[in-house]
Amino acid sequence: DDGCVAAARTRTRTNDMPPRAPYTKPEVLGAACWQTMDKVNAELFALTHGALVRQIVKDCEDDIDAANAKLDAMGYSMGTRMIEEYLSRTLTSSATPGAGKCGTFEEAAEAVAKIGLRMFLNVGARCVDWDEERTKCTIEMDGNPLAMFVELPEKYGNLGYCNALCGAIRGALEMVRFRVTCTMASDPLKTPHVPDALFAIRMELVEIVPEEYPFDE
Amino acid sequence: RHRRDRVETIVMASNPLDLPPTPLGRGRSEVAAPAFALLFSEMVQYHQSRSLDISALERALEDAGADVGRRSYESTSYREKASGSKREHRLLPLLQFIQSSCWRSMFGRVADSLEVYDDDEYLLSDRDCLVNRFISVPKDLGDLNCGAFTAGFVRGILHAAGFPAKVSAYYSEPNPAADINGVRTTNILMKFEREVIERESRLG
Repeated sequence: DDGCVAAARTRTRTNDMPPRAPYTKPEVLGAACWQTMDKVNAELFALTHGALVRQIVKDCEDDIDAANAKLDAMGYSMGTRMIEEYLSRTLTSSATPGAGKCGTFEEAAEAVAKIGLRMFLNVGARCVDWDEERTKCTIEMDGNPLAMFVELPEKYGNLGYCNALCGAIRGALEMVRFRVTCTMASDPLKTPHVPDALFAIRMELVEIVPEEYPFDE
Repeated sequence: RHRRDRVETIVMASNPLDLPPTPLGRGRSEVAAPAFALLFSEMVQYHQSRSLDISALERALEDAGADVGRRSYESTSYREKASGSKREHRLLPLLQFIQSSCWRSMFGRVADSLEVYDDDEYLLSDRDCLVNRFISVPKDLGDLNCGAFTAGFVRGILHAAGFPAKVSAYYSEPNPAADINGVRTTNILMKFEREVIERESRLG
């Protein structure tokens, strides 16, 4: 499979054809970016996140809706800052100019699933269940480091433990002008008795935010 | 309550959910450092908005670290083949366990040194404390030492192991000869409760 960054193929072309750059498959770019990241122990990450979730639940005095909103907002804040890392890594990790850029919602969704989740969480994922207009899909994950060691007691059955992840995706995409909704379509923490359940995020495009021009002309 | 095949649940102690046991795994999986840095930064901001001053913020970070340490100790000691999953019941072996196994599993390297200061005080030092390496403290938080989280981490381990102590973190003076990239050494000072010292001397 020559999805890897291959040597540019020479081909005869006329002067008015743009040069064709080798195509880097998103999965390959994702893996390449992951290689370049500094890494920390996933348990440290998972346990720190857990400590924060517990604190938020306690401070919300068991108001689970408030805790869920707080977790989503926190994730959103993280996502808005994650995008810088994403943009700089994808730029330097691929010979293909513009690799990892998201022109369409479809490209953005693929980027989240194949590049973003890999480079930050070392998780493989894919987009499934697309609607006809290509504005909605489900990102199915092969694992979730956030969920390590986690069991939700009955009284917290409605806790959106992974809400920060949904928020982060939403925040990151908003920085590249895709306004989306992200919800957990499948959360094994809420359905622990379902065997082989996967984490899955339902993502729906609300709008593509138009570029704002600073000058009124 | 510890079951051999499942680490204690992370979200509140709860009634067992009668689930099939999940394998503990080898604890080598990783995530990107920026993911941890952003998470930690959110934690700092969250507590900052609820804290009256820097000390209160550091205490909140210590408490979070204690949560992490307590649970990390369970998984690390379970995995540690050398001890046969037994817990250390003497102080010095426990401290050496923390300096080597706990530090290596959580932070990727062993702590640089372990010193005795007094009969009830010990000092653990780390020249390149992971938490401080990836976190940059914003100017408005001036003196905040994110090593507080690491101090809490140690406190959590010590309490879980049955060796309660007061634990605090402080930076060494800058030392151009030893400091890596100008990062000062983080020192974790442990002052053990009287009962621990008395028990140690009874055990001889």
